[in-house]
Amino acid sequence: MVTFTRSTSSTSVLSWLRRLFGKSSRPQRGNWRGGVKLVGHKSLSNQTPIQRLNAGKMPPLSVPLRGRNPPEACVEVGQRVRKGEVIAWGEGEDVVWVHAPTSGIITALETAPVADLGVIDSVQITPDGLDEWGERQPLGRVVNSAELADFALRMGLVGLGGAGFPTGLKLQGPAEEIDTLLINGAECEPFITCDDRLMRERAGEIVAAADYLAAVFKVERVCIGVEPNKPEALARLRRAATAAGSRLEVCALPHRYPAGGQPLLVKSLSGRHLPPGHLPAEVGAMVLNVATVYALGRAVFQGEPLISRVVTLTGNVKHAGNVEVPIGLPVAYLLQMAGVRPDSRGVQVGGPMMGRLLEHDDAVVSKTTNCLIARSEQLFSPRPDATPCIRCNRCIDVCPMALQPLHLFAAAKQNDVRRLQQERLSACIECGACSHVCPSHLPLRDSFRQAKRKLRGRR
Amino acid sequence: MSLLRPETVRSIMLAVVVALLPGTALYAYQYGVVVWVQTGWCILFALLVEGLFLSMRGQPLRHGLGDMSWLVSGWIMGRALSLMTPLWLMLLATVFALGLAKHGSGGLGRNRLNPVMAGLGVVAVVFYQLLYPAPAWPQPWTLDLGVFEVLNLEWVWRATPPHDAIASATPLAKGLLDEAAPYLSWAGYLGGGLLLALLRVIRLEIPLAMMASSVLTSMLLGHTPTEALNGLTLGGWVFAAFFIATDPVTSPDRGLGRVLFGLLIGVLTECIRAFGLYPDGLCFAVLAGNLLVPQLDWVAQRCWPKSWKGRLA
Repeated sequence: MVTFTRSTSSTSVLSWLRRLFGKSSRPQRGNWRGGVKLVGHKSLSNQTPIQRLNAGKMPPLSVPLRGRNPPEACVEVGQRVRKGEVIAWGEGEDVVWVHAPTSGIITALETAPVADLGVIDSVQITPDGLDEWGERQPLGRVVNSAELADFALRMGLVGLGGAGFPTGLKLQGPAEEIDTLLINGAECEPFITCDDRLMRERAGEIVAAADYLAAVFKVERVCIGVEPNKPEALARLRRAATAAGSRLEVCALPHRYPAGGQPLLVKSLSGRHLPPGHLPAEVGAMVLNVATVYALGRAVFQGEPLISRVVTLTGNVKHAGNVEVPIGLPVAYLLQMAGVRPDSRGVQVGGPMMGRLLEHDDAVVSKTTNCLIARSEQLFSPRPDATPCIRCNRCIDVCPMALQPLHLFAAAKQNDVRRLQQERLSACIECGACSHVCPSHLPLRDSFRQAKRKLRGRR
Repeated sequence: MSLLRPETVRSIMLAVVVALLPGTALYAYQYGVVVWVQTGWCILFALLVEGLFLSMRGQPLRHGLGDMSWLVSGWIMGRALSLMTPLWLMLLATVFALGLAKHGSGGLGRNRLNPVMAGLGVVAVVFYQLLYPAPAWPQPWTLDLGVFEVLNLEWVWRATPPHDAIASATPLAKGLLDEAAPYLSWAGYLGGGLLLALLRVIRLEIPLAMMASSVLTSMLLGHTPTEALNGLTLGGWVFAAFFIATDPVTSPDRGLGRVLFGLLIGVLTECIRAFGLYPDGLCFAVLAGNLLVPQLDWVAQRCWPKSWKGRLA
């Protein structure tokens, strides 16, 4: 792997000389090979500011109780809750608490289909339209990392990038070993612009939250990586960082999908090599999504738990844009608001590369639902039938993890476990770049997902 | 150029056909209509044989023929066989190529040997005396043959020896005695090959490595550098380097493997040309290289692991 220093914001001769002779103030950054340039479709939805919903006209919400160790509802049917009050909690140290997204009456405790998760337990709240806040308890001061982790669990914070890993668990990591905080503002998938708008409109809050985290973890370096197709977000963040006197570095990432993949982000921003199966903390880095950092800031400074998120509505709709949505809002309400055109075929949840087709019409938004795309023939042409592999090697060229997808595919087809391990299936980040470029339209990524599931089942 | 990059198997195959056009056209300009007739026959045979074996294997015809790989195979077969090959030999070579080498090993993408080279190799070894009845004569005596004369001469048991042509004065009359003249088509194939490299259908590692090792080997064998370079324009060397050796199915997957593959083919070609019995040096060299692909890939992986290490650095 070739590593080289890459110039970022300041490319003056002076800083170059300093880097050459003096003790390098900036650790060397790494480049990674592979990846694909995708058509962005970002301008569909990033032209208008983030909208807020009218609290008076909100339909009943089904707030999902998610997690590997889901919290237990602590409210009863008929009980009135105020906005931000805890409605589900648990004792365990990996239980993420759940809060009421608005004030209203609890009308049911039942299962509900969630846009990107499947059917899980949820708490149904019928809003009373007052949107009245309960008691808010901001943290406000710099605490130690264990306290912050506990606070994050109690405030319901999860990674908003897509995986939904409890932020509290991430923050519990070995604080002494972490010397770098990396914030993921890549948003490398087409169509999605929720982080883009967030960085444009709330750059100040993001910078403040990043500085707070940097103080808690006493890191040497705090850095946010943004793909260069968001020049305005980059500029706003830089301006906000300068205005606040922050040491947040705003860095442009390579403009290739999947620049936001965790190993690649760590490589681009810190030059460190994150081996498959290891956590960023093991190489001294903490990686958080930019929306998560923003939500953490809101929890710390305003005492607001994670009860809403920005969702991109785009694709074949009349009014594309971003909306700040209370968790648990029915997807159908949002789609109606966006005005889905009648010739659409289904709704994509998440981006076109990593997301999936919406299965339930009555699904609700969860903390990790970042984007809803109305699919049309033009934007999502149906994938032609797969033909045999001609070993053109394009999948090898684009694989950011330098795997050999064509051999992995052959092994997955034959269920050859030894070969799958030899070809290091576990390193696959399921970005789908291989499937995207395959001239034979082979379902490469899907077969790797299945093979991984099977391998996990064997163990 | 990336916008033009072929994105389906069919468009890749059609791009190869387009790239084959200039070289074939130049060849036809020199050798007459026989080039088109022979290429046409081979494409027809390839279509029939592909269809036959697809249905024998119970594969859907529309799907199997839709990828147009038969068109490329047929075209390359037509250009790889020597001119004035009898029809039955063309058919036999195509059956060996597509039937045995390709569908016999599981269809498109599964063959270890380049199908066309396998077919050509079998025919060249088994029917050597019928294919090359007389020493190959470099002058384009076929230029004056019309379509009907060509067809007439193809319905024969053994290839027509160019004896008549030796007596005829056409080459003199046409001023084609210039030594370089008989080998014009290489320029067309070079152009086509570079087009494919630009479209990123093929990679240049194999042709470049082949070129280096071919030139070096022939210099080691006692030729001057000019002769060695001139040797690259002979007997379809450029054609084989860009259109046959680069077949992704039968070449290594790693850059270093491809370089070794090209080097090996270059050396073998020159050795067969210098010491071998058969005139098809490139064909046997490519086949030998094909057989070694798994080993070359293994060597490349051992010498230069590109993958992300599984351990903490």
